[in-house]
Amino acid sequence: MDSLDILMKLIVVESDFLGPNLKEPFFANLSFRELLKNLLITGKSEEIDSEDGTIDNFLILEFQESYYNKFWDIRFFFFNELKSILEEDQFNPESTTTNTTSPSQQQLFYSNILTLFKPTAPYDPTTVDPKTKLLPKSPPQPTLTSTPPAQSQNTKQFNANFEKTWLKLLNLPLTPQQYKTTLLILHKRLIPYLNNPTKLMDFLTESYNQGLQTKDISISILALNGLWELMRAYNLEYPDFFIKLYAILTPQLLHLSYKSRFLRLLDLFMTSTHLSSAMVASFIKRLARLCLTCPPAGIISVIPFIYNLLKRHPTCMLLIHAPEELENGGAGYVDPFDEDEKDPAKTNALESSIWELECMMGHYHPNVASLAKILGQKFNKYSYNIEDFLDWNYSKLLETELGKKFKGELTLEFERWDSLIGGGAEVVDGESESAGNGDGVNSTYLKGFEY
Amino acid sequence: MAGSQLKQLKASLKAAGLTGQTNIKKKGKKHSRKTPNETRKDDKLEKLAKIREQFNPFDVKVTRNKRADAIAKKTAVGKPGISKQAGEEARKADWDRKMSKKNKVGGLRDRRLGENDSSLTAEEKALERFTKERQRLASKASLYNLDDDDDDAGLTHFGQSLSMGFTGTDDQSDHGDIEEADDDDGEDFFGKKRKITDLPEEPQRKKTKAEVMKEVIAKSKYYKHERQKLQENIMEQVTSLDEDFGDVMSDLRGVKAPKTNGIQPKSEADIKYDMKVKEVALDRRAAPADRTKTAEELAKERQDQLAKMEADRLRRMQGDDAEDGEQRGDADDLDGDFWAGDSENEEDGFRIKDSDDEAAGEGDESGDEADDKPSARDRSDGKPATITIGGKVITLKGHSSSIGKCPSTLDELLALTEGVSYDEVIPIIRKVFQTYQPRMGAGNKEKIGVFLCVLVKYILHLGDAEFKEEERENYTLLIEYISKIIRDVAEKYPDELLAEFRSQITSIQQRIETRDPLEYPKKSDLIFYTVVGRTFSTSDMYHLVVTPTLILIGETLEYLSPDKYPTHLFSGVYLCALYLQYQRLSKRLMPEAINFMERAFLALIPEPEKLGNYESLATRVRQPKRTKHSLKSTTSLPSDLKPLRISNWSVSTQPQLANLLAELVSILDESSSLIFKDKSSFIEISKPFITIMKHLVIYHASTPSIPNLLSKLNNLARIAQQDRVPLTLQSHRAIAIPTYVPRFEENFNPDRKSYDPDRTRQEISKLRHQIKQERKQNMREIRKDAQFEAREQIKRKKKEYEEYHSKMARIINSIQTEEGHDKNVYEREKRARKGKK
Repeated sequence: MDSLDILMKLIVVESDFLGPNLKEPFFANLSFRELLKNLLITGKSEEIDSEDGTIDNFLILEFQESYYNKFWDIRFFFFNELKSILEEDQFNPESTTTNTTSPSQQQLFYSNILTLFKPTAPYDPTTVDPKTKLLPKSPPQPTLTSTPPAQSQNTKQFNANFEKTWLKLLNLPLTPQQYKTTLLILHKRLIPYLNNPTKLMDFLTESYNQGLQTKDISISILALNGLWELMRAYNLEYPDFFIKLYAILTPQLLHLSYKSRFLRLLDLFMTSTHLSSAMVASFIKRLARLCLTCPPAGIISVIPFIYNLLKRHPTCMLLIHAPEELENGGAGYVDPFDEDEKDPAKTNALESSIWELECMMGHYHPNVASLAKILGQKFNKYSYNIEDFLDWNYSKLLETELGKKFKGELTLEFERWDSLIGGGAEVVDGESESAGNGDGVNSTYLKGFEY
Repeated sequence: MAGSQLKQLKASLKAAGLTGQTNIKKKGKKHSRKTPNETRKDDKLEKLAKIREQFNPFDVKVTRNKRADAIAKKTAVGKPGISKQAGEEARKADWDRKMSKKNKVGGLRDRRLGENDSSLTAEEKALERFTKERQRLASKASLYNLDDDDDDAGLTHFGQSLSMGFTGTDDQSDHGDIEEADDDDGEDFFGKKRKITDLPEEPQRKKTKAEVMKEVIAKSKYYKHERQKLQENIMEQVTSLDEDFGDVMSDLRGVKAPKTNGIQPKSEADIKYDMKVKEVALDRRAAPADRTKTAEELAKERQDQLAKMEADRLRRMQGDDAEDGEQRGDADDLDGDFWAGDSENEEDGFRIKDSDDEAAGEGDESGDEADDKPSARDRSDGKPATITIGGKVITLKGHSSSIGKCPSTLDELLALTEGVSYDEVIPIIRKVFQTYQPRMGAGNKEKIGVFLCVLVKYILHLGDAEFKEEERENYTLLIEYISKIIRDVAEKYPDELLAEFRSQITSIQQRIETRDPLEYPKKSDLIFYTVVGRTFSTSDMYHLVVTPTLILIGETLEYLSPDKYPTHLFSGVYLCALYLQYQRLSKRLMPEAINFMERAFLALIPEPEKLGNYESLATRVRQPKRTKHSLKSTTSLPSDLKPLRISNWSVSTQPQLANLLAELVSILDESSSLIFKDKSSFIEISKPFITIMKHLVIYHASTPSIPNLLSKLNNLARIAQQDRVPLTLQSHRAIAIPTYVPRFEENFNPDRKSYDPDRTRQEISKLRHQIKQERKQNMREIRKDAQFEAREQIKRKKKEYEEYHSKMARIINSIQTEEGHDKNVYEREKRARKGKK
């Protein structure tokens, strides 16, 4: 750490005095590059945080705190030099040299950068002068060296470097956590600083597919978010969009904390009334299937969603109301839904029914059960506001329950049990007097266990 | 007809033969002459009336209907004037009939004071009646009232009036009365004599009413006077007797009483008799209600009570939130049971039997303020108390240590039970309950409420406590005892318990939030969920404790990772079993439990990587991997289920895991037949389990439960497949779309009133319309009647007023005439006298 300090001071001194001319602004590029090169491969891969892919490397943290966050020129030259570093052979996956670093080292490298980059934005894009693309003069950005080169004030130059660097960086083999973190910061930290954000498309598509392949749909959901952003703003076309969307509907979905993010997007994608009803029906059927094993929060968000879909696509009402089959006697009816079919247009979901949601009318949570009952009532409401139902979780549910007023009734179990927990038969056999009471006394509340 | 009105009139008169030449003799119409003149005259009038009517356009009213006019229909012509007249006449007739009958026919006439005066309140009425009553009494009692105008009762001499005729103003009848009243002619007073002598001259004339009344009054007064005299006599005698009484008494005292030796010793028979009398007097009257109920009646009563409770439970299960007061009443019913200690519902399970009787207990507890001195009872009686749990009778050792004060915190209770073995804690708790029985002192109820919460904490504390193997039985007993107590006393302390359970739920939730496998789950949490299930009605749709607990269980099952921690695996299996118990009646679905069971299976089954058809699993899309709890393929399942011990929940040996798997299989078995079976998506629910079972059968075909379960699941799925029909959730009436364009009727017909295709509905609407019309008509009639009556009354009043005034005028007139006449007479007299002079 001390050596880091000393090195940085040396760089300052070099920039100040070793320039071609004392008055001319200069930054000690080469020394800084060497420093970065060594700095960024420090740390151990065990230190990478399993949660968000950042690293707990004290050198990096120190560098970030004392230099990176404070001084603009360091930030500028950081990306400038990083570009050059990445252009070197060892990070080029195609290079045949033996010098190539292993993927784990590259991941380490990436997490170092991620750690540096994640907490703060490089600069505030709102203060940049739109014409000259120069940073504002008035509150001068603190610089480490006394006379940084003029080009460092140009955000365009910075953005160009930044873009190249990131595109290179994103090509590195990343861990799922790093993917997630990158995707999470994509909107705030990356896209505003890119000259041409469409170049990110490759990365997003890649991560979307990768999420589907590794069955880790949270990556896909996050990538979907970015993709949507690009589609909306830059008219990006995406083939097989709905098939891939359908693939995201896996059993994990409703257990994830990203489910609300996904459902919001899905709601957006399903807004169109021109979607084929077969496809919409597949989505509904699949979501209903997922409800069978998911926590109440998931069901709460899915039911109004399905209600809205049904309202928007009235042909899909066949999913909850198909009287023709009943008129035919109903015998020999086989659920035609093909759950293994990948294409939502070909699942035959329209001829099926969502029995799963009917089951939810018998859900243990009274509110969920009554919510499920809206499917059996008249569809009078125009639509439900999805937002009201998305952000539920156990603690919220519990809070509502505990907030209820005590109105004097606290009903008790009227069956009396002889014992709370018992081993089963051995206790029961002594029980002859209670047998004649007709009380239905099961002597043990919970059988099969003992203390 | 053309021309002006006048011309028309002329023409029509002429046409009727009323103008122009009358009595035209028409040839060949001779017979018409025979018609008498009278009828001819009538004919003429009739004709005239007709013509008049014809020329008065305001007497007829034609209802115009634009649609009907268009198709030239017959229009209704009404004669409002005439019909009004007719109505008026009918009413008049009615009215007259009513008036002639008034006050003459029918009914009672209520002549009570103020009864018809609505302006008086009940109190005022009563007051008025009272004053009237008093006045009446007062007037009766006014015999000696000097102001009384009734002078007959005035001065008398030997009952005879002293008024001697020359009370000149008295009219004749008065004397007649007196003459009637005393008919002995012995003493002749002057006036009377004269009167009597007068009498024969006159014929026996009929007495006037006033005379009769006077007579009656006089008679009654006479009799009254007689009675008073008698009364006076009696009173006099009584007073004299009273005065003499003292003398008599003194005489009596003077007489020596015959000597007796005090109270005579009662004979045996007397004593017996007295005893009998006393007994009979003191004996309680036979109470007819206290019949001993027969066994059948008792059973029936119990059955009824159970049926009622079951009905209540069902209602709550459906979620109809009706009355709660009844429930409270229920709780009150059971009030005494716990304290009495020997009620019937204690009998069937777990009983605290006090070997000494109730009275002794009362005596002991009455001295509760001196609770620091050890209870005399516990030591004095040799027989120790016993407790029955599940058929086992446990004799409690006499625990004689004192209880300082009611423990209000867990620490206090822990301090109290420190160093005491588990089996000795029960007497301590019992002692607390006995000492602080609510009926034994003010504030005890609150103390016990607090103590109950402490017990809840204590049982959870116990749940976490480690215990030695030899203490197992006592430990079990203690927990059973406390949970039993909580359940029984819960009825009386809903508020305290609710607060306590809620705080426990919150603390558990907080521990879950930490996501620390050491913090959660704990053994005490399992105990907590079980206690909740035993105490509260878990089948309710809404329950203030059970619903949050279910949420917690759900969250726990979602959070547990059975493939990583053995404790998680164990608690999950435990909670699944508990879930089954919770929902045994209401059969509600818990997706988390399904999810967990599948995950637990996947964590436990041997060689999960060989599991075929993993896509059908509901929880994962990847081939499951071997976990650290995966059974070895050689491990065999236990043939009979041994109870799993909570105390060694962290053990992850092969037999334990095999046990868990066997338990899981039995839970799945039970839950599929109990809960999943009736669900419409049983196929979807059971599919992953069938896959897993197929896999398990490969390894454990010899264990009967697994192939059995597999075939059962397959059968159920087949049946479900057969029964499966598409949903018809929207089978209610179609929602109407509002239209704002008038409806076009295809076969429009102005005669048709309704186009409703439904015959019955049409009938109904027709009837409804008729009713409405009738109602309107009747209202109109009633209003007209009322107006008529008002008019008539005014008329009558006016008439009366007029009559009165004319009468008065007449009277005045006559008086004036008389006066004038007299004056004339006077004048004449005066003139005559003057003339004389």
